[in-house]
Formats: sequence, C-alpha cells, structure tokens
Amino acid sequence: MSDSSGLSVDKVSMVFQAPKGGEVHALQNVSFNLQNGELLSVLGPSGCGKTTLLNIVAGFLGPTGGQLDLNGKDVAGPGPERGMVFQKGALFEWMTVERNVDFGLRMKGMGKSERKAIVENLLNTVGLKGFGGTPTYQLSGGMQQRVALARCLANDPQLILMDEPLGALDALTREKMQSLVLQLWKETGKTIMLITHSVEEALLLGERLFVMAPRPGRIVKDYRLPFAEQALTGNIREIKSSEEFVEIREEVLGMIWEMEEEIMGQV
Amino acid sequence: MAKNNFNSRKLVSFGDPSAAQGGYIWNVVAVIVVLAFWSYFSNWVPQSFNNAFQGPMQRLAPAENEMFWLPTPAEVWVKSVDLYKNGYRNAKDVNPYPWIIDTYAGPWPFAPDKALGFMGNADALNAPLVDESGDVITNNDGEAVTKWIQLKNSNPVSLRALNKDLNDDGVIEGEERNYNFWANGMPVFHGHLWDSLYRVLAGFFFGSLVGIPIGIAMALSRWAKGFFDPIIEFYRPIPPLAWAPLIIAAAGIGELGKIILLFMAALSIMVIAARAGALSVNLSKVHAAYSLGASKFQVLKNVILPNSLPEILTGMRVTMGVCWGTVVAAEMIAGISGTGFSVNAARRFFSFDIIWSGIILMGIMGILIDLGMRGLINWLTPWQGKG
Repeated sequence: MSDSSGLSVDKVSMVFQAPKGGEVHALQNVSFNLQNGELLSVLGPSGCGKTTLLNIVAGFLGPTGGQLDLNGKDVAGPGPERGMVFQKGALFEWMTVERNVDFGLRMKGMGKSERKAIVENLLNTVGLKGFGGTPTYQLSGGMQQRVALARCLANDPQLILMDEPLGALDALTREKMQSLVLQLWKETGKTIMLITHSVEEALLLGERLFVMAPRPGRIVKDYRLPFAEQALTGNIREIKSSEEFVEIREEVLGMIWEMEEEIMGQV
Repeated sequence: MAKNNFNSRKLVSFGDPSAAQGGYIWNVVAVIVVLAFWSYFSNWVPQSFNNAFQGPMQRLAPAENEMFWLPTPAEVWVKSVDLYKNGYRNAKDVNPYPWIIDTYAGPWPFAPDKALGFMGNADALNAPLVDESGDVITNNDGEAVTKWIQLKNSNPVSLRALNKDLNDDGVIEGEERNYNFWANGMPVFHGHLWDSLYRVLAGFFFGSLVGIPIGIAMALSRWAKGFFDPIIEFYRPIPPLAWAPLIIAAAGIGELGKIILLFMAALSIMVIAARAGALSVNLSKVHAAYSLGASKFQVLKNVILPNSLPEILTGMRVTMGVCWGTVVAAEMIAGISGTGFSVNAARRFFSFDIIWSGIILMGIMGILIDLGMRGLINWLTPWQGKG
C-alpha cells in the first residue's frame, strides 16, 4: 500500500532480543497515515515505544516487520527530507547560531550568499534576529530550541520529527515555544510528528493525537482535536482551561495513569 | 538467522559507539601480529625456527674506527679516581686525561669497579700520544699511536649499535659543542635545553599525528577497536624507559632513539584521549547531522572531530608533561646533549649548581608548556563543559 501523499506506516513491528533473554515487543503492527500538513502528537507512558517509533520514522532504526514510506519514497536510513528536533537541541556547540542553522545547507554545498538569506529569514521567524554570530553555548535553553527549530527548517524537510522538543524547558518558556511551534506549523505548512510526555502539550499542539500503550507497543486511541486550529488565532491559556480541553485531558490522563499502574504492578 | 538484538536494527552505525562492539577476531589477529614481531626480534622461538627467518644471531664485530663506547678498562678507572682525588670538581679545573669525558653507571667515585664503561672525547682520543720528551710515539709501522688505538687494542668488545651517530672518523657529527665542554667549561643549558625541547615536540607531534586517527578509528570501527585495543593496552602500562635499552640499541643514542621513545610515550596517551573524545559524542548530535543530510565523512569532520577536541587537547596536555619527564630520563641513560645529560654529567663531578639549575629549569619549562596548553585549550574549545 502506498499512499503517495504524506507519511504512511504499515504494520511496523519492532521485536528484539533483550540482553537478559526474552523478547521485547517495542512495537507491534503499528499502522497509520499522516497527511501532508498534519500535526500529529504522540503520547504514552514510558516504554510504550513512542521514541522507537520516531527513530524508525527518522531512519535511525530499521523495523523488524512492516514498512513505511514518505511521499512514496521508502524510509531506509536518515535523510534530509525528514528533519529532527531533539529534546536538548543537540546543537553543535562549537559553532555559532548561524553555522548551526545553515549546517544542512552547507552539507548540500549551497553558496554563501544564498545561505545567508535563508538563515537571516529563519532567525527572524524564530525570534533570534541578530543572534547569528553568537556561540550557541551562550544561549538559554529556550533560545537553543529556537535554533534547533530553525536548523531543521533551513533544510526545508517534508516531515519534521520532534522528540520531546520542549521537555527540558521551564513552564513559561514552554508555553511561548508551544505557540512558536504552532505559528511555524501554520506559516510553513509542514507535516509534524511530535512526541511528548506532557498531556496538555499533546492536546494543544496535536491536530491528531495518538495515545500509545506498552507491552507490546501499540496505538490504542486516535483523536482528532480542534485545539491546534483554535490556538492559532485564540488565546492559549483560555483554550487550556476550556471545558472541552479539560474533559479530554482528564480522559487521556486517566488512560495513561491506568497503564502506568499496570506497568508498576508487573514490576 | 542473524542475531536479532537491538543493535542489529540500527541503520546508523558510523558515529554510534555502541555499534563498534565485538570484532573479537581482530583481537586474535593483533595478538598474532605482536607474537610474530616478538619472535622475529628475539630468541623467544626455538633458534632453529628463528634461523629459518632471519639466519643465526650474530654478534656485531667492531669495524675500524667505529668503536666508541668501551667497557671501562682498569686504566681509565684508576685515572678517573685520580682526577677526583686531585681536586677535580668542575670545569675550571684542568683535565689531564681529556679522553675521559663521562663515565657510566657507577656511583663514581665511591664504587668505580662497578662502572660499565666510559665515553670518550673523539678529538682527544685521536690525538697522537707524546712521550716525556714531547716526541710523537709511533708503532712498528711508523704510524702515530693514539689513545684510541691503545684502548681499542686492549678492549676488543664493542656495542656497535651505540655508534650510529659517529661518522667514519669516529667523530660525532655536529656535536662538538657538547664534546668540548672540558675545554669550554661545564655544560650550560644553552643548547641543551632546546635539544630537549626539540625532542619533546617531535615525539609529541608524531605521537599525536598517529595516535589521534587510531583513537578515533577505535571508537568508530569494530575492526580498528579489535585490532588496536590489545596492542595499545599491552604496551601502555610499560614505562617508556623500559623500552629505552632496546630502542637506543636499535636507533642509536642520538635524536632518533629519543624521538621514537617519546613517540611511544605520546602515542598511547593520545590514542586513549582521542578514543574517549570520540566515544563521548552525544548520539543525538550524530543523528541530527545525518538528518540534516550529512555524509559519513561530513559527520566525522563536522561533529565527531570537534566534539572530541576537548578530550584530545587534555590528552595533549598530559602528553607534554609525560614527554618532558621521559626525555630527561632518556637523556640520563644515554645521550650526548640535553638537559638530562647535563645534569647527569654534573652529577659525576658534584657540580650541584648545575644540578640545581637543571632541576629548576625543567620545572620552569614544565610550567610554561602547561600554561601554553591551557591557553590553547581555552582558545580552541571555549564551549567545553557548556554544551
């Protein structure tokens, strides 16, 4: 099956031998389609395989079963068409902001003046105007994540994969960054797959939301949510306290609590 | 079916240290290579087996004008003790036996019978001997007799390997400065200090040049790790000076032997440092680079190398200290110039001023080198510990 538009994941499984013996079913028959331009957030308790899923989509891991393709092209290793944003930026701290952002362009061998225009534009977009020459280790955590977003966007990927991108930030910065992610999503129209631990963040950012369960790792619930659209124009704080939002939040929290308790019981 | 563990599912292996596991077959290859070298250069294997490869072991016979290092003849020792008894303490005193410039290995003058040999002044050795009336002494062929001929005839054993630095006339090339100190005064550090520094820098340079690529390869590649690990780990704990007799015998008492020794001291440290640096790479950074479209070479150049730089520079700092310590000790064992040589020569004549100034200069050089390395580290890796 090949839906030529967007990301299609077909019966992907990840089964491997644990070092102490026994099989680990990190993922079992995970299937979904992600249309171009959709923002998907993935939620689940620790060990449910969401990071494994992301790594498989990114091409860092090969699944033991099933297949996946992006816009008709098989995923067989990491590539510039699938950009990554990591939890702690994973910036190259020996480079300046500018060198980080145009890293992908330099790898492609793009000319200097072209790169400069793209970088300037992106730094404006993420709110880092004038920081091009700053070494990245001098930036705060939130600013580093902005650089990471800009670095990913500079390559103009078809799909952006975010691995708990806001997990290491304080609450206030986190809220600001959430609206930045939404704003970038709207402006660029990119397909985004975002993994998070925060239920609130998943509900707010995810146009679609998968809740995953562990042992074996699988998708148990597929939501379509209106909050991301609302947040593009409305007030984030108001949306988060709206009745509908609270209701779904409690439902999802309840599911994850149950799973966590089950895991603790098994241990 | 292939082993189905987690690592086997990784699509990114270059740059991921956990993918460089195993490779045990290369351990075996390394051990075989080491044993082959050993057997070639030693009598470890039965002689008959050895002969098949390199022929029977031969004692090197002394060639004409080649002999320089000599086992101490009794005559030399009597005269050495003579020197001391006659108030011979420092350069200002006149040496009546100019062909003795340094004696080896005995705590002279307290146990001269335990001494192993002496080092001669080539000019003085080759000067014709004169009798009491001032006439040149000749042999039956009418040739002028020198101290050299006298000693050579009485001491037929030579260690040819130690004579690599002599030219055909038995004179040490380009080293008159060091050899004429009886005439010019005791050794001062002008020249000697720079000789030592040159050796340290050369050993350090070649050690880094070879060690850094090996260390990084060991972190990234299964076979490099498997092959180099046993070799490096075998020779690393051996003090560099334990190699000195072998290396000096093979490469001579001049620059080459010492630079090889320092190279060996530097190599293992630089390998360990570069390997630790490459292993400390944050996997997300490698993944990020691949996701931005970097090739393996680009990941190596733009991510792994700069990320290893702090560890490599720390390794260089340690290496400089170790090399400086090793060069002084190596110069004390054998050599004709250098700080260690000067101090050791002064030891024999109780010139504590030279010894003290030598020690202090070594300390000052150590501090200066370390300050330079620290400056280099701050300049090259300002991000260290802040990533």
